[in-house]
Amino acid sequence: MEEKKNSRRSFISKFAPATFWGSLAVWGGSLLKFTMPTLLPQETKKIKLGMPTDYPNGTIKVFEKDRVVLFSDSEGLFAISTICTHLGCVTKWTGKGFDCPCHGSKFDSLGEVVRGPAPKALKWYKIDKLPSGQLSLNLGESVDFGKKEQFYV
Amino acid sequence: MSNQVENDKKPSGLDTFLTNLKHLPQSFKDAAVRHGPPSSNRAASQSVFSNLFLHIHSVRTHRYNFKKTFTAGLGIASAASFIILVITGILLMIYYKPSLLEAYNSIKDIHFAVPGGRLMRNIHRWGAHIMVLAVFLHMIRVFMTGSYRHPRQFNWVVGMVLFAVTLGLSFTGYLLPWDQLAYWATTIGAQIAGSPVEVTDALGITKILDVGGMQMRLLLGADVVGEEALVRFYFLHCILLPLILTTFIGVHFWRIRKDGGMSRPSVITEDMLLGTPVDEVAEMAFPTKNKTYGLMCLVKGDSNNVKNSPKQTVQSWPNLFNYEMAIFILILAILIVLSFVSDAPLKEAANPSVPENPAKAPWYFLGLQELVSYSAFMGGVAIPGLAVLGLMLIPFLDKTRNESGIWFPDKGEKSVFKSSAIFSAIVILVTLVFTVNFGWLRNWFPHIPQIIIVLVNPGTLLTSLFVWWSLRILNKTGSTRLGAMAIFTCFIIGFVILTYFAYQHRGPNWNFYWWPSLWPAH
Ligand code: HEM
Ligand code: FES
Repeated sequence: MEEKKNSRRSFISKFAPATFWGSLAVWGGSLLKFTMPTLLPQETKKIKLGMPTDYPNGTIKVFEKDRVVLFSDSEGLFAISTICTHLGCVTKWTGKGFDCPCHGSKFDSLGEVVRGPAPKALKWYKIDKLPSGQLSLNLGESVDFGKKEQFYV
Repeated sequence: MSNQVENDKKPSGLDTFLTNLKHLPQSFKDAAVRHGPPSSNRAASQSVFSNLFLHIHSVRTHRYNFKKTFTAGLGIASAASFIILVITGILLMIYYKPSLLEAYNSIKDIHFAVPGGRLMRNIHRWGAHIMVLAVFLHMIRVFMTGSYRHPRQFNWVVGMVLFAVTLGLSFTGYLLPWDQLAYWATTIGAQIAGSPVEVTDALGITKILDVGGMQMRLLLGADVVGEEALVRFYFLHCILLPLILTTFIGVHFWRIRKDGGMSRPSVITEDMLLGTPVDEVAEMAFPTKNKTYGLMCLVKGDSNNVKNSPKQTVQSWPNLFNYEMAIFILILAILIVLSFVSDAPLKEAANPSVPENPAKAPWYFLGLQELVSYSAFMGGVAIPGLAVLGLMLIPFLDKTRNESGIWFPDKGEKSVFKSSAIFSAIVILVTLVFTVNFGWLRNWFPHIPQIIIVLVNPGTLLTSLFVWWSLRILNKTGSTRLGAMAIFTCFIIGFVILTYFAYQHRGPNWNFYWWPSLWPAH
């Protein structure tokens, strides 16, 4: 008898604070969840490039505002992001490669790291051919490093 | 004492009213302040403990606390700068508009159009610098005087929270002008928060558990620095962080009292009290025996008061308040002079396609920026994280109970301080000269895996050397205090040299230059 009473009491005396802390934890978790953004306001921008014939072999076009450089060589078209993979500064196309002003990372003409703290190569963006035959540069999607697109044939 | 004859004649209602009206200022004062002017010791004591704002002080203060070479008033200086920052900050909020379109222009208005706006902005900017400096020096003082020791371990931890929140306030405030400096410093800072991605990438688990990305998104509310980031930073800077800081300053001050007042050595001679206020009455008022106040029995553990005679105390009113006001006025004067000498910077409006070159953080983050230029994760997250954790744990790993409240209380501390300073200075200089001249791993092995650079870079090398040195001291002397002294000194010297180096010798593209005047024009 005595024991039973006690165990009920001790159950309740443990259960009550557990309920309190448990509900606090759930509430706290939902507060954290609230601050975690789900709607990422990131416009997936597309740039109209025109016809493939506008970009003969050897073309280099810098889109400063959009932070991308478009290249055309014998293997095809490709677009390299100028956003440094270290800490997000914008690198500068020097004619030979990309130099980052912030902590001195240097990338070669394909965007591969050659110096400095950047952990990986610059991002390559996807180039699409629209039904009209026009090209479109998709800043919302990246492709594997080194993937050049042949559009002539 | 009214006249007997007039006693039977009741004053008219109007008379009473007029008399009351005449006495209004005095009666109001009597109601607000229940005791007379603090001319007697008793009234002075009442002034302290019956006033909400003053009662955080004790009624009497030990003379040792006034010793300028002990605290240098640095804690008060931190608090004074914070108060000035709150006042000027509230004023700036009247004109500042936290939106992409308006932020930059509203700062421009404050700076160039609002009457007194430039002064207000300058004081706020300089106040931030001075506060960080004061907090930093205060922490050094507390460490060097061994004042984190029992029973003050917890207050040291509270202090570390204050340190971190102070830096957080500076960082979030930096974005608000939305100029080039602001935009790029924040971009870099946010990417540092995201840099654990270097490690998760190397482990190949970024897709499952992207800690870095989550941290960055939590901070920015997006993947890039934009309107969401500005609103979040504004909220953190103007509401959340000041609230947290105010709360913890309250806890900090409360604990100073509860920990038995300020730390002080067990024997205090008259010589050591030279230049502090004196109270002749105390000599007679307190019995010669080292007796403590009855209430002290309620406080657990031993306290410093037990060791020291109340004879060495003086009335807090006016001694302590004069001291505090003097420091407040000094800080205010320094800020006003600085504000007239040099304006807070405002570059061109933020331009996301062209970074500032070089994009330098405020001075107290420059040491970190140098480390980050070796590895984002190590320099920006792991090493500072370890440093803060290590600092926080000092009182729990060094539990020696020797003297506190004097500089270098233990035997051999001064020499460990000196040798550690020399050791760390040499090691840092050699590392810097080496990296500037010969580069680092990637210059020699272009295809080296990133994870090796993350693990082995000048930053981790220096950190390991510092740890090795301190363990050696710990082993050789068998004293945890001396081990702590070694690592703390290395940390301070490292901070100072790296900050200086990045400030003075890093230019465009983070290249080495002897002087800023040698930077190429661009
Ligand atoms: C906003 C920042 C801070 C403010 C306003 C502040 C304020 C103060 C004040 C007014 C004192 C009285 C003694 C003095 O003036 O030195 C004090 C003491 C103390 N502070 Fe701070 N402090 C801050 C940050 C820190 C930090 C960063 C630490 C260390 C991690 C720290 C640890 C301590 C300790 C342990 C004491 C007691 C010292 C003793 O008894 O000798 N505080 N603080
Ligand atoms: S952001 Fe490019 S090197 Fe740091």
